[in-house]
Amino acid sequence: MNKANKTILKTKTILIIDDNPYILKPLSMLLSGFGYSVTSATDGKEASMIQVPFTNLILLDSRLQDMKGQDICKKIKSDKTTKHIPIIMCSADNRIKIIAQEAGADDSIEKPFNMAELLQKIKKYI
Amino acid sequence: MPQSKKGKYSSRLSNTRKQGTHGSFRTHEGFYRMMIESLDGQSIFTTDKGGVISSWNSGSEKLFGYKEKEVIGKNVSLIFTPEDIKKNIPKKELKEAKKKDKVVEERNHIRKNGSLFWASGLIYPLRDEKKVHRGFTFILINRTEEKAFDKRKDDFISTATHELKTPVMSIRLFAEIVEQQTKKMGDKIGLESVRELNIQLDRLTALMNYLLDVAKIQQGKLKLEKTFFDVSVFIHEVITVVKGISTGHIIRFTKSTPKEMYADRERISQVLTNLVSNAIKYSEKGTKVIVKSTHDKKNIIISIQDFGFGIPKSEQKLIFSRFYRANSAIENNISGIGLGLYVAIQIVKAHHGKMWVKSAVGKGSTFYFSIPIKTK
Repeated sequence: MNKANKTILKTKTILIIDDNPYILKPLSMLLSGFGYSVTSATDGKEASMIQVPFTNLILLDSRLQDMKGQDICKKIKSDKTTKHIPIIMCSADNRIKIIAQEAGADDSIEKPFNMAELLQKIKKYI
Repeated sequence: MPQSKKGKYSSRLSNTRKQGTHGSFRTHEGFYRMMIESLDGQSIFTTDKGGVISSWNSGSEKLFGYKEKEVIGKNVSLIFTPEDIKKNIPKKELKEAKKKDKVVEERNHIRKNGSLFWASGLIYPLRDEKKVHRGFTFILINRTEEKAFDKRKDDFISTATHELKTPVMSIRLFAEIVEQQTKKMGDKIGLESVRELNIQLDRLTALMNYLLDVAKIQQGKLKLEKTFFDVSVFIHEVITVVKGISTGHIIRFTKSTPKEMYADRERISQVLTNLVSNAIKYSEKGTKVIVKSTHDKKNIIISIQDFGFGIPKSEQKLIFSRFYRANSAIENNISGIGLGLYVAIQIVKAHHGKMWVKSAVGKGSTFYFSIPIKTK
């Protein structure tokens, strides 16, 4: 196996589900900069497509246009093929810790967070 | 109304009741009745020792919808909500008024037609000239509108702050990208500017969190997640974080015997961080800040001493109120919004603890807070 292929296999994929493009864009740029492969979705419909099973970690906003982040979380966690994927829920709501626990998420982070905080959490899982 | 005046007034009122047939007192009774009736924006009424209503002014008629003759001889519990009656609130309040000489209360009361209104009230014990307890005086004011306004205001602060968080998050992320780029390019001025930008963003975030906390406190929504933790380890952690931000002061920590605290760790950390940061803010660089933890039988007491400007006696109580800023803060151009100590004392109170200050101008201040000890 050549070096390039090894890198591809090693690269972890993070799926960001957030309906705000002004969060999605810089967050994707930053996480890519830290060596992750980033995919994104802006709503529940988009997220329910084929992306999920090929993801190593999901960063999920609690408030989306079409559905609640909690519901997406519950859906992923109730599916045999996807329930092992770590989910970090994020929100500007300071009750996010409780919301995330109730939805069955692995972790949570309150907005506005800084990248150091987020990276620390991501590294706990992948 | 000051306590002393009130005492005089209530004993005189009971005088007139006892000796109402006496000529000079009849004039008094007429005068007092006129005075109380003229206060028709406020409900003023009396009860006997057991809470049976004995007088009822026109303000009470207006506020509750009951005529005087309908309520005389009835128990005061008729103005309390069924929930409060279940909790035995009417009896408890009378007991407390007798014990403490005054009860200040804010609660929902119920009208004749069953509707509720928010009232702030005072209950005083009525005593005759021999200090024998005869009954109670109630003074109630309808505060429904103020309450609704306060709620709207707090809801607004809460929503607005919440909405502000998303753009702040976005700015923070873009700032981080700029920081990485300027680092790569070796652009010193750019990097310096981004760091300043981040400091200001931190301040903005802290400010929003304070506003959210205040709104939560006002709405009674401050929830605590209590756990047991080691006090010394906890204090060390907080001091390390503060030292990382401010390097100009010598921060010492002296502990007594180690003790476990049962509290919301994050919230108490917020309190201690605030007090240590204040000690730094309000004293000259190079001076000492001493953090101590002690305990007595019932409480763990943490104190934070500085050798700074100090707080004059006249301001020592005011500094714990909302949006109050010490004169020394304004004079010395120290930034802040006057919410830190307010939030801190509310957090401590929510833990059934106390917070107080000892200070002398020019010598420095020591802030104390206590948290009740709980055994596992």
